[in-house]
Amino acid sequence: MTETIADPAALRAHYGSVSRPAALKQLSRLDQHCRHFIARSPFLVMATAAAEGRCDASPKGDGPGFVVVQDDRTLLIPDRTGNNRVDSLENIVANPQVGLLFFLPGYQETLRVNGRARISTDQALLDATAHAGKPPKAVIVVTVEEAYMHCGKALIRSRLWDPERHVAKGDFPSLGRIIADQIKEADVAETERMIEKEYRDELY
Amino acid sequence: MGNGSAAPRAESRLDRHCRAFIARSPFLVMATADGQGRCDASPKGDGPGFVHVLDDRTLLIPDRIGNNRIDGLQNIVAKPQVGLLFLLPGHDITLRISGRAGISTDQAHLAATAHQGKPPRTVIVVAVESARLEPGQALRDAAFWDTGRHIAKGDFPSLARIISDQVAELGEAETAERLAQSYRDRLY
Repeated sequence: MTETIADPAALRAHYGSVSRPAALKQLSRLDQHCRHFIARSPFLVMATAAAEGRCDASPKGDGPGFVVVQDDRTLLIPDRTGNNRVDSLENIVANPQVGLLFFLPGYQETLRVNGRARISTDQALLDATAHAGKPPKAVIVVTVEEAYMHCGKALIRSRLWDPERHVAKGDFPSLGRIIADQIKEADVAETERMIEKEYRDELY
Repeated sequence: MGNGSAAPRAESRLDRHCRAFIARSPFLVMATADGQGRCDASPKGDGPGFVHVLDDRTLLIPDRIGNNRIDGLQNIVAKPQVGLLFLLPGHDITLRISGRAGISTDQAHLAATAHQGKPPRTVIVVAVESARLEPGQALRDAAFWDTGRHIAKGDFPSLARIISDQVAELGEAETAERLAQSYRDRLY
């Protein structure tokens, strides 16, 4: 890169000041609108970072209101580890700080909640987030530090809720096909390595 | 995989499936953290293929006009590691990438990601360290793409209404006007 911005002052100078409503609407607890948003939301992405700084964006989803608002500073996120990898939980154990982005399908703005998380197996918390009588394996308890509505420009530009923009089923391969391709390509690579080895070691 | 379910494995480079996914994706969430470990999840979106695959280890993400909070960019300046989650509308499969990012104003990077001749303000250049296509159980459980389950207009308070409730001195009508203008005139 020839032109790289590598310090905070240069970055702020390049962008100018924060626009006024964005600077004003940050909350330190969940107001009625944030609580309502979370009660209707079936999906969020959770940002976590490992102690050494490696970041992870992890999707969490279920029926609307699957995240329980315990009070105006506390959220309970059920962790139903189906085939989920545990990266984000390991990150929370190492570094409790999380950033959450909640979606309300059909609505162009998102809700951002940042705070500190811990992983609980407290029976009361498991019961509070049970789904169809089935408790999750663990609950991510988030203490809210800041919450704010995020402007809708990224969703508007992407037309995320527009069904006309859905990618046709046949226009992207199934996971089965992708896995088969990876195995096949691995087989080819492995076979080539073996052939190479034979040529090298077993010519005479 | 702990429960034996099959999933594609992580690759250290973008294979053709990952590249095809990115070429069709109009949206991602970027995870960053600051020097103190405080994390941020930031949405990025535009037309399909708005993220440019420079080569099988390098992505260019245009940073277009937002609210100028630039939390994610400030984090990158402090700590280059990022996590990306790409979505493909109508599909539950997601693409998860981790890598290291830098912020570029290189003319070639700006030109490669221009929209109708308008370059972004900066380009986030990501050196890919790992990429993995995932089954997307969370999107399926959320019925994320099911338009029949989407909330209808008027079924949730507008942002203007929310802002006017949160900030006493901002009236709803005036805020609605300002937002509409911003969403109309300041997307690029």
